[in-house]
Amino acid sequence: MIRTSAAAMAALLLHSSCAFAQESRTATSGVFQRYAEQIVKIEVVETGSAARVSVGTGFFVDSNGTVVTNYHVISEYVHDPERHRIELIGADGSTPLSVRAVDVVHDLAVLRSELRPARHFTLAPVAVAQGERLYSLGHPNDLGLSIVEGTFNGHLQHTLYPKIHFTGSINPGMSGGPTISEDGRVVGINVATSGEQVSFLVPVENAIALVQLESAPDYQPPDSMLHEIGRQITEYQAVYLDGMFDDGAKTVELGPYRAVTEPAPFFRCWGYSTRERELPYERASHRCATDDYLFIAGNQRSGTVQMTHQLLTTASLSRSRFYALYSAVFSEDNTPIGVEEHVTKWRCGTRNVRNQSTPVRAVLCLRRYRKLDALYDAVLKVAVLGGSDTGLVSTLSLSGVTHESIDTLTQRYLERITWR
Amino acid sequence: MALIVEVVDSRGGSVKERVRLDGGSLNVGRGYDNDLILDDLYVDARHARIDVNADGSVEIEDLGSINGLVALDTPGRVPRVIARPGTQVRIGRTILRFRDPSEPVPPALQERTKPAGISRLFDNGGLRAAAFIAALTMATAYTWFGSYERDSGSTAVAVAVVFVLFAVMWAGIWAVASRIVINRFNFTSHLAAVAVVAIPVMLFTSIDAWATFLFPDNPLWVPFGMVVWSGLFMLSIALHLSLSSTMDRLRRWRAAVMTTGAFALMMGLLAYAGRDAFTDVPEFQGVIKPFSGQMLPAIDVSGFSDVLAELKEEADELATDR
Repeated sequence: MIRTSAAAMAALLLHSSCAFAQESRTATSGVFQRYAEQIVKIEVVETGSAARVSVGTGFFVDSNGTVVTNYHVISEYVHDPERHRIELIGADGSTPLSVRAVDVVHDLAVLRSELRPARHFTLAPVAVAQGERLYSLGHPNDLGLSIVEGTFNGHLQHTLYPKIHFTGSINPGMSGGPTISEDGRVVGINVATSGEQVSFLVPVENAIALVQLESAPDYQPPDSMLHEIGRQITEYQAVYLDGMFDDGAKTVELGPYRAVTEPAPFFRCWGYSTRERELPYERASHRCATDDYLFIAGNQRSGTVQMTHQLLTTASLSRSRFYALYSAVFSEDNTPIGVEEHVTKWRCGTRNVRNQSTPVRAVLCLRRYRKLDALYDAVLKVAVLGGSDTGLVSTLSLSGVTHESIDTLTQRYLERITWR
Repeated sequence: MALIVEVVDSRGGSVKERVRLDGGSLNVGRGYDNDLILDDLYVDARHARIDVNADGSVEIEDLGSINGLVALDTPGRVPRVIARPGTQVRIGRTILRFRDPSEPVPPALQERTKPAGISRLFDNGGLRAAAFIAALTMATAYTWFGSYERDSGSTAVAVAVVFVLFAVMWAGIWAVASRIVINRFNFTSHLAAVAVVAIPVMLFTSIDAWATFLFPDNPLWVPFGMVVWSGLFMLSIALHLSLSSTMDRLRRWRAAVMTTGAFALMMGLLAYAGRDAFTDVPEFQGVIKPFSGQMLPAIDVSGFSDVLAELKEEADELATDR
């Protein structure tokens, strides 16, 4: 009896799962057929070599030929418009695109073509339930328009600006494409992936805001997009750098020292330590960083804040040998990478600094963005002096910030590192 | 007036022979029946004749040789030349230079019976060994105190071996030079010279680290350090030259200054050529020393703004340079 029931149950499950798969395939195929023509491929071409430097996806949002995509798809053009052009690749060949508006913080751009599409997406706020099935469209690795099924998994908790967690495989080339519900409502814009079906979308609300700005009757595209990007980054950092490391800052006790930690809810902190038998010292690290970053161009990222405290202790090294170790750890380079086209070389200055109670060795390194006015990357390294078998090396890394912010934050950071 | 004729090798410039012309004639050529026999394949068997005339004048005449007679102050071949003190003629690849016997010569160099100053070190085998052992011990100790691994002992031994190898190689090169120039090897003396320079080099490395730690923003320290490093380099060259040449002290130091200058110039040119090369790796002083007392020169936190202002100025300049 039991066996019969179990067999019947299995047959039922198999039947329903087959039916579900069949239904899902039909739904996906239907979505693709209904919306494929509203999605376009976008290429940035270097005029000198007539070769593509970037391929992405975009989609029509009105009948005037307005296309939404990611800023990072067209960033090469924005940084060097003399040497590049943007093309929309459709079924009927290529059409030039112009940049109307960018939002570097949310990684969005609004472009305009001469085409008058018969059908387009209509952007509107959308409510989606956790687990709802979504469809991401784009040109993965330039292999032709593809559709990827996935599920909505809510907004990320640790980001300064909201991002949608989409469980589906977004690949390079799909950037800028829409992720939609079965009935064609745009939920987000494909922006990033961290592999293994963990992908991220820019919420549609940000795209709506940018399209509304661009379609206002008195709107004029900025004379200098780079200037506009610089302005947006400065505005962005003002939001979260304002109260950072101030008097109410959270601190952590590391050995005999106290230092700041988790400066804001959108920071994530981890700890790890090295205790290997063959090493005559221990090294414990406490690291906090923002998940968000701003895409500048190429390999250049910006807008991140990172801090690392490294506690060194030894039971067997003499004072002199411990300070050799301390110097070596302090000399390690953990500055962000830089590309000559975008940033200058580092310039560093070293001083011995005394806050109320603690003498420290402090190194500040600074470099400037070449094309973004008045923005800098800064790395502050601090080593607390005076211990004979313990030491703390602390590094604060700020990218894409103004010199005024660097001044305020380095002062506050130096004040907050003390002996307990 | 009698003259002296000097046979000079036209390539090396060294005098091979001197002959006093007292009167009569002197046959010059490669043949063995000449009065002045020249070992020069470009000279004829009977090439030229030097005549001392009755009035004391001296004349050199070409005897129809293949390569002729060339007066060095006039272009082309000449049949004969009236020789005076200072006259130089070329036959084949040999130069004949005429000199006045009354010409003064510089006083003789005084022979040193006992070595003076630091050279005394090199004459005493025990001191030579002591200097080398002291330098080796220092190098090993510096490595030990500068390392922090559990097996630092083996690192220190490895550095000691490298130090010995380097010193032996460097001293060996100088010893070969000594053998060629003054016919003596002086290997252990050169080894001691390496030690004599290595000891202040290591000491100054320590002083440099401490000074950089205590006064990281002193603008005079870097040029001062360069002067010291150049001085030590010069000392090294001058010491080795004293052991491998017959140069007097002035010439030794002149050679040391010129070598150091050339080396510094080369390094300067290399640095200048690479000054614009882009790198995203910062350069900063990372040395920390175990000293934190009230005597430590330090600025207030608010003073750190000035550091940022200086860096900003430099970075802004770099951004606009391009």
